[in-house]
Amino acid sequence: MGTIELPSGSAAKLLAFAGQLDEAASGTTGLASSTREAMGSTPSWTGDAANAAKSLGNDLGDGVAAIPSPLQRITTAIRSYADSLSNAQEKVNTYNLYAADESVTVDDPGYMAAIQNAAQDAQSALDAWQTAGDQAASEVQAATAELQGVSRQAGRCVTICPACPQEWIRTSQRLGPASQAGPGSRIFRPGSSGRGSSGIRRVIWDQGLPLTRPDCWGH
Amino acid sequence: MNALQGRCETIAGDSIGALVGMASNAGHPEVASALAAAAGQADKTFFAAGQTYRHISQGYAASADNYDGAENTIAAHARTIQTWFRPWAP
Repeated sequence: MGTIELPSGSAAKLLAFAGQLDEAASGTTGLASSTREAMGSTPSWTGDAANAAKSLGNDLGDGVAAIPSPLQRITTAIRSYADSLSNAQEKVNTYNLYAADESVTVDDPGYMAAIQNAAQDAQSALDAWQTAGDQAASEVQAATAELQGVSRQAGRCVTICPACPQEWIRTSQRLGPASQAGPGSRIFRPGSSGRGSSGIRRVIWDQGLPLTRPDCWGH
Repeated sequence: MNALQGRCETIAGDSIGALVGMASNAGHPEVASALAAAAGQADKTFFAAGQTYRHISQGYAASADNYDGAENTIAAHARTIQTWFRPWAP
């Protein structure tokens, strides 16, 4: 009797890594909460710039909160797949033990019945493993698409607003500490007519406005 | 925000490490391939999140500088005005 090739892979390691991914997913949930808390408590300065930054921060919190779901979807799929893998390996091992046993002969009806049952069990388990693998792959791909959706939102946000902090920094450097600014002083933002005397906070607001775009991390 | 960005990077490392570890131990080629793709996507997603944390952090720092500058200026003007009207004041 020939042996059957044992499926490769380690169910034990898959389960261990699934546990690690579950912990990471929980950590991401906590990170989202912390982000929202941080946006609610900082900074001490107020005004439109702060509101714009808080708006982006809240969007970021929502975006981060969307990450755990696909990660948990992957762990669920992999745990189920690991069960099938473990079962298939066990059944194939059982059959291979029968097949390798040289102490029995094919004339032994009990042996023949046992090895035929073991072969059927092994084949059924292998079929189930293949099916579970296909399903797991499909689930992981769907979860990856979910992650891609989250990433696309974040990526759009960053590509829309890459200049915002730099603009803020430039504004800060241009004004300098306690330079032109002050009550009644005129601060001209780039591209403006130079009219108005609304002060530093207005300049920050003008520079920070792109951060309030609603499609950043929109969920 | 810097601390949150650090946490994000740690979680990213754990997540991607877990996904790569799963891919290496899957056995089933399609599962392994899907997990490897998931690891790549998780890398991009967490990177984008980290970039956004950095983005906000930089914005806060710059705007806080501006705010401090404004406060200092206002305080300086207030002292000048006070001295002008009440030269005897300390």
